[in-house]
Amino acid sequence: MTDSPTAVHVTDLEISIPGGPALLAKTSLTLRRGRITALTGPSGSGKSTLLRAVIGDLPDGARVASGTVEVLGHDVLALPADRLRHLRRHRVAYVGQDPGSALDPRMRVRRLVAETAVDPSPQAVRDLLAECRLPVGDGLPDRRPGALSGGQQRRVALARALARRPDVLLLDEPTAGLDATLRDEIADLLRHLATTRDLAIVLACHDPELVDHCADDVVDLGTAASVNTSGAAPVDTSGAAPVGMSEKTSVEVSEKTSVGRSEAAPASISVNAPASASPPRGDATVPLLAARDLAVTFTRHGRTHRALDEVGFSVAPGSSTGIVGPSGSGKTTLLRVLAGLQHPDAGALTLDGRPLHAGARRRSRAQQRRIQLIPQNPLGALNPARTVGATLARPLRLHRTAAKADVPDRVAELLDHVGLPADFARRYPHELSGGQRQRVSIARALAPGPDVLLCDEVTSALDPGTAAAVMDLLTRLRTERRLTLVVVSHELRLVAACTETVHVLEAGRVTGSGPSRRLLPAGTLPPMAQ
Amino acid sequence: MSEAAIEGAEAAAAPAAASALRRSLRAVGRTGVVLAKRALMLAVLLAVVFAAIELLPGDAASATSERGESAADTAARRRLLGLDRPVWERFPDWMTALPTGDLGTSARGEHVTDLLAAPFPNTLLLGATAFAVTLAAALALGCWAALRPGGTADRIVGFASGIALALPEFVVSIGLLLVLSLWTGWLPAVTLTAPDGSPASWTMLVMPVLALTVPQIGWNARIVRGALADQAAAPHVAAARLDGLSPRRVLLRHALPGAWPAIATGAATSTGMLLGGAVVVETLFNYPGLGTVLSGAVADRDTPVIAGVVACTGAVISLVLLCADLVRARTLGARP
Amino acid sequence: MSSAALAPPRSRRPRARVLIAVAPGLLLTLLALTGPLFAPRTVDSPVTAPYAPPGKDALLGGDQLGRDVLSRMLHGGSALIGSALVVAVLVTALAAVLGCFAVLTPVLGRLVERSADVAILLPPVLGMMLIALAWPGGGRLAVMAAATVLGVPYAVRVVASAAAPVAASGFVEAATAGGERLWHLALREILPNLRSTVLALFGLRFVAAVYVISMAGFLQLGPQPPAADWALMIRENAPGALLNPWAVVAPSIAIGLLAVSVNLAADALTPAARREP
Repeated sequence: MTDSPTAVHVTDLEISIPGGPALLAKTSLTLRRGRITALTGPSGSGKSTLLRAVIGDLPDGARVASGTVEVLGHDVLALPADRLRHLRRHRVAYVGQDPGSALDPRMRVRRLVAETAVDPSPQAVRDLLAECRLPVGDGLPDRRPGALSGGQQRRVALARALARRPDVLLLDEPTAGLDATLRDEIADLLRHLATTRDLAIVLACHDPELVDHCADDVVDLGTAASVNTSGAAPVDTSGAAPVGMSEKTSVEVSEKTSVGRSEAAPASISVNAPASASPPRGDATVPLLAARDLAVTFTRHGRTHRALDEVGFSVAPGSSTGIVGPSGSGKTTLLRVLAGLQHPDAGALTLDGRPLHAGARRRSRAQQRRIQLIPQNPLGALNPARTVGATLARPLRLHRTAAKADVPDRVAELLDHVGLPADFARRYPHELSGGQRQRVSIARALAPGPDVLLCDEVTSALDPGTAAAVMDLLTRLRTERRLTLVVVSHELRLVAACTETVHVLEAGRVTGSGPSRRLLPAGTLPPMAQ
Repeated sequence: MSEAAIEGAEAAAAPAAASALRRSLRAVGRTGVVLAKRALMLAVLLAVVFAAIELLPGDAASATSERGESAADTAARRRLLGLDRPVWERFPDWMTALPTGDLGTSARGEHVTDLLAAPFPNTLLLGATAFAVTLAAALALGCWAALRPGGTADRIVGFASGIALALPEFVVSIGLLLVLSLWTGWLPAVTLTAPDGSPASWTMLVMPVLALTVPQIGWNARIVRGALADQAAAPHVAAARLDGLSPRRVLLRHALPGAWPAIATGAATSTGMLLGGAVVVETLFNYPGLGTVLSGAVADRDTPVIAGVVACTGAVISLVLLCADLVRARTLGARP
Repeated sequence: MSSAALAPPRSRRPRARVLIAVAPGLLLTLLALTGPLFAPRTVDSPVTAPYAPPGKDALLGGDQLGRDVLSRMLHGGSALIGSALVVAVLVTALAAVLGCFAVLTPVLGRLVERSADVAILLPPVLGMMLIALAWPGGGRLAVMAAATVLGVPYAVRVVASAAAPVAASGFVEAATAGGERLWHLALREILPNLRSTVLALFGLRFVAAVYVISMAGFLQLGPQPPAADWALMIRENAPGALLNPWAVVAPSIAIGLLAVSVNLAADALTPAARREP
């Protein structure tokens, strides 16, 4: 099986950002002509980084810590710029994850394909488009990428890549967003190309069907850092990856573990469950915070986008509620509406059954005190121009929760509550780590003595250990202080661990609500990629 | 994405002619909106200018009064110029007369339109030439710098444009006058006019145009460079680079088209600076344009003339901004 | 969310490089402001022949009335720079405050955008002529008022665009949701984070003010003869440029150097994340 000539040879490649995380753990990879290799592994395992390293492109600020990449006899990491360009132009083609944005929006399909083509004649271009299963009869070659569907854009990008008749073809998620029929067609096409053109094809992919269908070799970056070019049949098909999750509904989980791989339980998260438009009401009690029929639309370039569409939402006093959904589903918008930062186009809010103004500044002092927001993490969560002490003292003074003389003591006390030493009061945000900043942010929200904490992706930029510690802190504070939590996150595991109820948002609508245990059963969370 | 797909399907299904008609109708509608917006802006500017003249002390009649003139004479001239009528009558009159080409009456009782009829085309010639030179040079320099970010050319263009854009036009003019005219004698220092009032020879235009363009080239080269740098970060430009296309092709075919809106806006901003600078440069070179008229108006404290000039230049700038709007609409219209 | 705008203040640019870039501008400004102390001759009476070439009694020769060009040079910058400084401070301060409020109140934000759109239609030179003429006797004050009024709309837009990412950042949202008042959000939460933008803006507004005010001097709108003013000197001595070039070249170089050095200083202060205003 190893008799076909080698096209790409990656040896012990390790890529990292100096002083930062490793982007790709030590990996080796061999690609042979006429064969299709699939790279699998959870998101964050370095599939895309590896693919781009093969064409000599590293992410900003990243360095090669060790290893070499040899493509068609060239050491691409040491190749002079013009030779590298020549290699990319004629011999190695790369199609990125999001061809919709990678195709020049101002060029027509015809020109997009002809630009890189060995034979730019109209007939050759049409043949190539037809070969990529694109309809050429209805004027598609004269359209711009914006007028194509996602699947069409993907195939146009593939045609553009093939037009230069490369020796090596690198594809990042070539079938994301395509339906099963198209996916199989693409798989057949790749198979056909590999054989007839003697192409070495590598695809980064988390779609087990595609891997099944066309891959000769499978390299799993998630589990093994080494090669798995054992040839023969595709490996590990039994529990390869989640089933039944189309791209739109998949939710990113940041950990690199491959939990659930062996546990055969099909990961059928009921995100697609029939929508129960009205959320479950806390029995007989008045909800602490509730929203009814919320609608928010954004207009950009004359197109309207419905961020929220008739969303209802309520939380009982002392409860902990999660809001999950893919990015762009409107979960942060919902939280911003609750916090009074985003005016809804329709709908109403209540706090303790009494109407709550949509604008934070129009709410009463007491209402402003009772609802506090913990913003999305990175640096922006704390004012970089102020010390931690000043940041914490401000809400104390604003809501008169402490007498002037007591403020320093209360600041120290707040820092203590979130597990930070009192002398942190003199520090500036940039002198703190990400986890410490998030703790200060939580302390600021606690300062005025709130009833509801709205947490917006509070763990998004933290490593798993720190994220767990921050969530533990929130859970502890909730019981100690009888707080009500609303947690927005795309990290299902964390939401499952610290909430009782969860709402699933998709494209601005609530598509599922229920107890976290049922909707997000612990242990069966698959490593889903974007 | 799904919207685009639906639209794509629709476009495919509908007969080509109908969709073309609809598209052109939409384009006309968009142009109309942009046109109306620019016209409104111009009207607001003129209203503000008129109000400023009214609110501040002194009017044309008292400004042109000669020494020893009695208060009664001034009042009489005020009546003659119509300045005794209330402002809410005069402003609509002035505004509604503008589109017909009537710019009002100067302090000396002449029609402003007649005063500007000869010099305004000369200034437009100077300004348009300078605009074309500016745009061409700025594009060339900006692209040259963007070809190798951080390279020698980039640094030279960056530094030189930083110097050029800060220089007032009259300082550049003095330098040019001394070097090109007084010391080397290559070009005439003073503009001679033909019988019809226009410059006698194209050589008369060289120095004024250069004096106007040097600062504006500096400014616009920076904008071109910045817009190209922004585009270089766009995913499709990065993808074109990964496709191994030549840097020149990536720059001209993939980055530049997306940079047009920013460049057009920058160039439109330059129009005002060019017209303003022309006033000064014309004074230095004795060029028979608006500058001469304005100098006279300044000496006479003749505000109606200046208001008329403001209306003219405002209209020209609005026109250029309108073109920039259309470029922007076209560029953005081509994307999803 | 632009984290670049909120990067820790330390890691921006090497401090030494900024200092080197700023030094010439500062030095020149200082020299021009203290110039009158070093003037060797009087400024308002002839000391040599009209347009006399440089000689023993006048190092840079004489002007159109035979007055000492060097002394008039040393006297002629302080008023120009002084008024440009006042204008730059006023414009920057107004723009900083208005810009911070504009990003928080959409109505004000739209008003700022529209007024900048209108202001672009009026070439600064014409605007200045209008104000200086409609305010007879205003002199330098009228020119300064005009320069301030004409500079603010554009400057507010610059501040607003720099403040927009700050206004969208977590700490401002948390403060808004926690019930902070508008003035506190604008002046205490947002403004302190725009230090580098405001500093760079100040530099640019200084350059613009030098441009506008010297332009006014050249057009004889502000200072009137026999005042010693660089721009006015250029205008007055232009006819004799062949006899004593220094009478024209010296003030031209002075204005050019001042504008260029301050602009380069402003460039060095501009936050790296924001390329073009």
